[in-house]
Amino acid sequence: MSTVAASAGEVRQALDDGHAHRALQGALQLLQDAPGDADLLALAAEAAVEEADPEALPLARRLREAESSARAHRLVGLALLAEGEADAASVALREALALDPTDAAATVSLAHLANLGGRNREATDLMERAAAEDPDNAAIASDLVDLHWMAGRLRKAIVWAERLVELAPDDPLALLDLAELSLELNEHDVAVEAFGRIREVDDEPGRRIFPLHGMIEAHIRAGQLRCALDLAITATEVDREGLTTDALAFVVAGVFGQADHEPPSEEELMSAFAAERARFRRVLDETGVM
Amino acid sequence: MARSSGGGGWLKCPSCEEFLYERRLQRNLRVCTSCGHHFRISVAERLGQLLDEGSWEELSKGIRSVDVLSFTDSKPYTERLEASRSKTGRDDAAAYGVGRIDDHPLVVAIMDFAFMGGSMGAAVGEVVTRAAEHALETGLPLLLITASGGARMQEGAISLMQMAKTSAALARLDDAGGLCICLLTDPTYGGVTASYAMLGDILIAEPSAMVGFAGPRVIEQTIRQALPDGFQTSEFLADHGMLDLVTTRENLRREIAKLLGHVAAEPPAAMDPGPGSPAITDPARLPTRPAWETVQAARNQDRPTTLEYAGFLLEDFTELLGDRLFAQNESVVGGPGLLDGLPVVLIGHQKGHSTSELVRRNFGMPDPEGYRKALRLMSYAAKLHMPIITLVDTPGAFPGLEAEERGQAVAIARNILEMSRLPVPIVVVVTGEGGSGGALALGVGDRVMMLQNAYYSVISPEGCSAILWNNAADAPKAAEALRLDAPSLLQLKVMDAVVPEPGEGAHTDPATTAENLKHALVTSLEELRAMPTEALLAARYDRFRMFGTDRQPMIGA
Repeated sequence: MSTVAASAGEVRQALDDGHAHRALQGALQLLQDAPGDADLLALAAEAAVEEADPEALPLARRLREAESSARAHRLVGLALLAEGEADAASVALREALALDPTDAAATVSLAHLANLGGRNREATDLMERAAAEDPDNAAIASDLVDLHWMAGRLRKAIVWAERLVELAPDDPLALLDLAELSLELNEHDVAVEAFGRIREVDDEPGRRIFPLHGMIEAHIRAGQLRCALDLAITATEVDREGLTTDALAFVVAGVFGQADHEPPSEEELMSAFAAERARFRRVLDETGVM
Repeated sequence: MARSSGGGGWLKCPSCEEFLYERRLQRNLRVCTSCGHHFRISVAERLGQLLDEGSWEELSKGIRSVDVLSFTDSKPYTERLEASRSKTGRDDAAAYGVGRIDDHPLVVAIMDFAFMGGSMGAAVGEVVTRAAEHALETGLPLLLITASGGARMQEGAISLMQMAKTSAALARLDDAGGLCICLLTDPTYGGVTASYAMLGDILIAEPSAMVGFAGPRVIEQTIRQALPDGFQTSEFLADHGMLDLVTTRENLRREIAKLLGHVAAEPPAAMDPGPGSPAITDPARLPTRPAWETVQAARNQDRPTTLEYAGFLLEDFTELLGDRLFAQNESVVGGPGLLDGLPVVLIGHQKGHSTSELVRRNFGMPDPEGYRKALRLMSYAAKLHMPIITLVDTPGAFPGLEAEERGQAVAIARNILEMSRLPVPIVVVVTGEGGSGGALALGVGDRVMMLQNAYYSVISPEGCSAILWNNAADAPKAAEALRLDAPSLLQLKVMDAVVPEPGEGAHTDPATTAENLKHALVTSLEELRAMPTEALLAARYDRFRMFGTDRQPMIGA
């Protein structure tokens, strides 16, 4: 039921409860009686930004005319971002940060703008600053995993991946980040555990096989072929075709010297596992935004 | 990765991996501003983007699947259902209701992929069936928006039966002439694709949406071969003739509104033929020129094409693709539009002006898929009581190995037969080359006309010359002998009228040619749409029955 919030308190509550449209309508109505009220303008602009409403920028600019505050500059910056005006947004967000160095939202957006401009180091510094201001924010931790990973700083990436898993222990994507980084850093036990956790937290039947393959890969990489064999046999209970039988053939050949069909090379198998994970990462990504 | 940063609102595009500001993405209808990737969107977002604001009224509250089989895998089915209900706030993976698009009322059924992967159990089948029944009862068009991994395993054979149930409901709607549009969203698979998702009159998908029967992983594992890039994307399906339209999210609402508009349009009481010159029915009024010159003029690469005529003649023309069997053929184009307010379906051969376009269009020589697409569009017209206009411009049907393998003759024959009995007015105009059976496959109608410099013949003059004169160089003689030009064909009553061309020919003034064409079409349709269907079909039969009888006029007699 969509009712218009009748007081500034109700508008704030609606906004906090995720009803941005209702909050915006309420704030706009209240502004008719008090057009110069900066707090109401701020609420309206915040709701409009949240709603990605085209009125966000005019409202934020009105707020900035009424007060040169960090929140006003931040809201102008975020509204400009929604308009696709990256350069102007960057200027406004820097103004916000100059007035309030603890503004995590402005810092995060500036970090992303720096990254889009190809300035990974600056982006990472800003994002770490945002993380210091908002240490329990899983999304910031996730961004830091990506920023370090993109720049090849795997050790730093895995530290943030571990932090991310602490903050979001049931997020299969966080676990997948940790698992894949662990594989790259030859921390096979951590990888096996992370893949195992994915199987625990994501019980979607269509996604049950790929973490098992990840565990097999970790064991193969660690030279633990007997463990890999046990898991490959388990995997055939879920999946009797393709990659699973290739994996089984590979470990059987490794353990017993021969298999009943030509096994793939280790490189081919690892590459197939990686391609499969990339596919499921995308599936999880898409599922996450629904 | 697609998590939003709290307070920051950034996420990563799963396709190009660019970071995106979420509000910007939202403003862009959740289409990546960097690579154009169409993010999956929620039911609320989809309805918000497609329907007129505030018009949605849900009618499916309380339709829920129950655990008929007492099914348990790693957890009981009832627990999975409850978890999905709690996560999505929905009773099951589909909902239906009524709404409006651009003020056109319609019934909408929509699937929610977030609810157990949009899997189809009894509740989903019930929602789709009731939506079809509601459309049948109310006479409203039906829009089905699909997103599904397939049938719901936890409901065993009962889920399989939903394919039959929903298909039967759509058959009833089809029999009653109700329009059904399916919007296949990413992903649509399995039993949903193999039933109601593919049964619409019009099938639409967004770019790169994944649609198929068996998933790519299953196929790869079965055939043990890597699949081609783009396999099962909407573009792949369109290339293989399975979709009518692949359109961006930005254009989706407008395209659906146009299609609904064709169906909702009230045929005008009287149509305006416009400023063009009337068609000529007296052969003596036609200027004469050597037949070979006519053939050259008909082949002029600058003559207007069917798509150009469509752009001039019709408002809200929507080109529809595919034969739904094998391929999208580029040598035949067609779709619905409004001719002076009258909903019609226009179909024609399509050539081109540049070498690359001519090659892409195979010089206007269709494969069987082109003819099958044409027939599909004609059936669409007949179902929705829209007159049909065909524009003929082909050297002939493509004479190729694959065309023969896929039944070129069958496709032509079927078109000729069906066109003789379609219960709507058909007006045919030969606009360029009328090459034999490949032309006649679009050439059976109540009124058959030609442009002044077009020709129509059982064989090309070159072919005739080679066979009968043993020398292709005698093509001009053959052209004369074949009596393939407008004055001769008018005299023989193969043509009912000739549309005059301005100046040196259609290519010198396409706009005036199109005006003349419109005049001829509107005049013909005004006569034909006043006729009862039975009389229309009887006259059409008689028109072609006359050839070869003593009623047949003779040249020089």
